[in-house]
Amino acid sequence: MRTDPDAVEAALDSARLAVFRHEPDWSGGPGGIAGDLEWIGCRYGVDGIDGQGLAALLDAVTDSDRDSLLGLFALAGGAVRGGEFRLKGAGRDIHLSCDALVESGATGRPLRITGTIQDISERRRFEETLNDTLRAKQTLLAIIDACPVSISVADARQPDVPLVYVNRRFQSLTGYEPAETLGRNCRFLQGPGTDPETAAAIRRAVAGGERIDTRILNYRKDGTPFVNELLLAPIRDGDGAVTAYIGFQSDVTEEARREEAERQRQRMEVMGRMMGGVAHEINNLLQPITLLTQELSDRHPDDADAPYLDMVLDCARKARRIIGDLLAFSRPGTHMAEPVTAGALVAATLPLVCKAVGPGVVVNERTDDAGSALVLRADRTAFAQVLLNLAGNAAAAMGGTGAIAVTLGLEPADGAAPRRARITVADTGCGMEPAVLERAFEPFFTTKPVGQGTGLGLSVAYGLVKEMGGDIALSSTPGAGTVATLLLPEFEPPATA
Amino acid sequence: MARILVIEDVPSVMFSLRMVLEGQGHKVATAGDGAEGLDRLRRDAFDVVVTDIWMPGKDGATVIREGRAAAPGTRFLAITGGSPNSANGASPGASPGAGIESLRQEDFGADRILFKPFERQELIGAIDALTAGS
Repeated sequence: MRTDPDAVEAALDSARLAVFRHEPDWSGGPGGIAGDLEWIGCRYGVDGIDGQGLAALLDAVTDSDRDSLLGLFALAGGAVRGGEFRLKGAGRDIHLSCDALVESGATGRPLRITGTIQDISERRRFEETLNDTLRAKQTLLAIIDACPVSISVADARQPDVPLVYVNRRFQSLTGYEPAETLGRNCRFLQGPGTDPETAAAIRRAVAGGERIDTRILNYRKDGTPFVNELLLAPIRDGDGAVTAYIGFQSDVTEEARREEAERQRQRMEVMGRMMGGVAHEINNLLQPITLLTQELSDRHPDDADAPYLDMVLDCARKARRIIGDLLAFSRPGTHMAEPVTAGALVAATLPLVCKAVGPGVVVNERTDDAGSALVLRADRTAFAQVLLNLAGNAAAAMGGTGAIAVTLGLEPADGAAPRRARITVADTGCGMEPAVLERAFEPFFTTKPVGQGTGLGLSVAYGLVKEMGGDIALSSTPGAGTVATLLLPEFEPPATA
Repeated sequence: MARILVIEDVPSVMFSLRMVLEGQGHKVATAGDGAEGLDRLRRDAFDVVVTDIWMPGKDGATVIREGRAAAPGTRFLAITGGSPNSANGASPGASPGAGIESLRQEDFGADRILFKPFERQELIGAIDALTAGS
């Protein structure tokens, strides 16, 4: 087949390809710059240089790229050489890519260099634009990754909607590495305490392509539960089809604990109000019983039936004491911390504890004078909540039958720690294994069957004790019982000027 | 012997107070609510007014305040069994959150206060103390 020179010319034209041949003259020195540069074809930006020698080409090249061009014509180097260099242009530089074939003579010096020069300016510009786009995208990804909010993306077009992206906060929140999460459905965060209803609601929403905003109990990789406030929102393509789900996760465990504490407090407040009303009624009934019985006794001092009246009076007095006890613990107002002696605090709460633990449980109280006299700053309702939660657990640990020992003593000042009231609640129940004990204060950690406990009792107690500036600790021997210890600091009234 | 006005809305409480006070030889008049009690106080002279605190209509603290203006020489004994709407039994105008302690401290403007259910001897002693030296 013969080569058609016209066709080659046309192809060169459209390819913006120049071809040259250079025969270096080494007599002038090792630079090899001298010699003939013959342009075989030149159809583009080297206009004005074509027809001229290598020196003219060197002049046209930008300073920074001159070495790149010289390399092509150098004494040493391989037989096949390539390089890129830019020509100084009017507006923007012209990018050229050069490939050269070097024929060496007997001396090993290049005898003839034949090469092509191609204008790749357009390709370079396109690549730059592409780089800018990629950089912008990477910046965006870095921002999302650094967001203090947990963000995940699941692919709705794949079966079972697997995670395809999780940011750094998701990892720190859940404890899972991306490799452990990507490709799996997000439900691996669920666990034994997760409400099945909530999980089903999420499944339904995703299946229906709807947005859902809910709270669900999730578990970290190490097994600790947390309340996840979850927002799942569908992402749709141009046709409205759901292609992905974006998820936002926040740990609201503390908030949930506070809300539960507030619910408990409100329940007690309602109970207090109710008891106030009942007490008013009962007191008005006890008044005539007391007065008329005493009046009758007084009018008939020697009557043989007088002991009957004494018995009525005795009952009325007992009833009065019970009403007084009930009133002492509950009263309205939110967390009103006030100076109160530890003895009064315990005494006001114990009757309530006795009633709450049920008929099978005896509450034995042992207080010492030094501990009782210590003045604390505490909210009675909050303290009652703490003791009720502890006593409730103690009663449950004994299966509702047995004795709870409540003690109050003085913990002497120790270094920076002030004098503290030491209040213990001890049971002789089933006790706790170390693994259970370790997690006992965790919100939603419960050993009770579903529906029999919120798993928040000790967590609420913990929060309330901390609010009082105190400490709470548990020690337990499996099979022998548990002791809960509260340490509440002495109240030091602000110095008056 | 003292002239005593008892203001109390619960009939059985009223009856028992009257039995004890009349048994001590006092002359006892009664009123079933605050407004009626104040009317009585403006018409007749009394040494002591025994008044309940929580009553429908005019409460005991108001009765005592207005009663003192109408009858400066009369002594007031407040009796209370707590409020039907709260655990603390504070007077209707008391600030929310007032505790048992403030109830114990609050006197409703009275010269003396007894908490229901009080005993016969406490009542007799309170009346004696209020009428002593008069």
